[in-house]
Amino acid sequence: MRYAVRRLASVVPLIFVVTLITFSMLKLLPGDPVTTILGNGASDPVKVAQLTKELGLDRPFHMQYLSWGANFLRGDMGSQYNGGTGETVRDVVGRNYPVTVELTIMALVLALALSIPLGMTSAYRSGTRTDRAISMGNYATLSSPAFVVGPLLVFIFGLQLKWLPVGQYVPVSDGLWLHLKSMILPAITLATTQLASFTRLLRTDMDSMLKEDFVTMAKSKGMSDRYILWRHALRPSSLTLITVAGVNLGALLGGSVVVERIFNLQGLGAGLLQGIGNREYLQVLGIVTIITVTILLTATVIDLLYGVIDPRVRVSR
Amino acid sequence: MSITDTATVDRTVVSPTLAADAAPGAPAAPLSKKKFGFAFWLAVSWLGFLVLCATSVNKLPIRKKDDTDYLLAAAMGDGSVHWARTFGRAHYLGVDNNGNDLLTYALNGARISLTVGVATIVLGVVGGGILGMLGGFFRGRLESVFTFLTNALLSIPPLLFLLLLVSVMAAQSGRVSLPRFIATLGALTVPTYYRLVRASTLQQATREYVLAARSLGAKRVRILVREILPNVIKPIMAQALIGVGAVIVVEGTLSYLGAGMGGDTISWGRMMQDASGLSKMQQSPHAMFVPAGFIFLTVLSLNFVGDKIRERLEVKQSNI
Repeated sequence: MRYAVRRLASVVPLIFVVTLITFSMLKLLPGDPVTTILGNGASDPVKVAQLTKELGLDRPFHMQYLSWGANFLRGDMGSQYNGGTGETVRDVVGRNYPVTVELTIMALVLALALSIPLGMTSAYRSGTRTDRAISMGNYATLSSPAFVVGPLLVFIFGLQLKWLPVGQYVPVSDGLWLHLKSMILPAITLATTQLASFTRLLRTDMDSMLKEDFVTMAKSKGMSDRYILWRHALRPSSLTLITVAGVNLGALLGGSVVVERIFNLQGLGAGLLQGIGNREYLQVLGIVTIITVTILLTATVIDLLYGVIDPRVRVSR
Repeated sequence: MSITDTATVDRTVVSPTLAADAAPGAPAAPLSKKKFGFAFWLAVSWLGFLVLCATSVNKLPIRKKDDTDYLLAAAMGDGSVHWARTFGRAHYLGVDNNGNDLLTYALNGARISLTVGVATIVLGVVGGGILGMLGGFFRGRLESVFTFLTNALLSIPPLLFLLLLVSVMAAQSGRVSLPRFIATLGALTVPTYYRLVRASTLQQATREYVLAARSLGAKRVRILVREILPNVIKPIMAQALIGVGAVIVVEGTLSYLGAGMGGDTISWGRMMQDASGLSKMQQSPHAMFVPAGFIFLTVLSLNFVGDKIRERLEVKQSNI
């Protein structure tokens, strides 16, 4: 328990540094929000001074950062400067977050569902033609970035075969089936970026597991290969898989920016790109912070769960 | 994050024992003589061919970059010429909607991708290597500071971070110069190589040969440069080839998102972006296939060559 608290506490300075870096970088962006809001009125120095004061931009840098941080902790991420819709950043994040989370989880599940059988087969039939074919497949997916796979999938399944709709996001409110149909290509695209790393990892891990004494023991007891593979060998290997899935979460969330762009999804990535384009500092800052916090917390939780699932880790602590 | 730290340490600790386990079953001698194989040389030839073509793109007997084929583009636009019929002696890989020769564009893109990929990784390996060796050898406060900074930098998804950085740099003029772009990417690869080098320096520093050198009275700098460096650098070199592929992908992704070098820089990611609108995809899908093919083959070759070299190094190490 004490370990858990210490582990969680170690996340705080990281979040601090990350937000500080992002905050200072955004300050370096030329073109300040005041000019953007006022438009033509920016020539009037009185108005400019008034608005600058209103937005708190006249205060020194560290005060601006601290007040943003304090507000953030209270759940207030500020509002858009020139959205016109009057949305707060919290609204935007709240609306876009579920889309990204859904995409990420679907991709993760898909990647695991494919890589577990592939990795196991590859380890079980180590050195055979099947193993080599899977390994070649790994190289292929490893070398196909999302911005190549995505458009190609759109071309094949959307334009040529016309199986799936392309270029639009269908919310769940328009029907679950239609919604899933619009999410399947994005999920596949994102999953391909992770497939190879999971499969390879599982293959290496299982390969060494199958050489362990307890596997030989199980075999000599007359258990079927299938039972040994799924029950004896996969269980310890799945721990490594969970860890890597957690570590790769950052890559997945980063990759979702691209995937959201290709498939026109309104997720955090889209919000980020719009924020950068429209110079909505607070929106960019809010989204980067949320993503970072998500990654750090997931990593920490997985690290802690590790002790719960695997008794060996608990003892060594 | 401690997770990745333990993961790397675990792997370095585990792999020698694994190799030792495998040794009785499979005799070590044939392994060391294992040939690289046909696929390896095929990948190497593709990379060599690409480098050659990219460096001499202006001297090759293909259409020049600015020599736009408006006639063909117009014919393709009104549907009188199907996209597949734009291939031929005039354009080996066809033209896109705007009449640009795709082979010329792809080779110009190769110049950018390869330059960015190689230069970035050189920066990252040198920077991360120096810091990693210092951190791993001298330990103490230096290491704690480096490691904390590394963890902070690595906890922002690199793509988001680059997106922000490049947007900041491009905000004024709408474009980023090649050296600045490379410096930015290079700075962000430093943490990755810092981790790798630190882990292997930590491991090497406990080996007998270091102890021997130390007891012979060698200075610390000498041990670091003459004893540890040669042992640390080899696996990193194989890793670096794979890294070049990864950077090419990152550059492509940034360009695809419109956060690349901008201006009139041709890059594979930019070509993908230009070709992947729905209507363009219908009219001239080959404008998308060409850069996709180039990216795929190049990254595949880099991954494959890097992996094979690494495998060979591992076999050699386990034989010692």
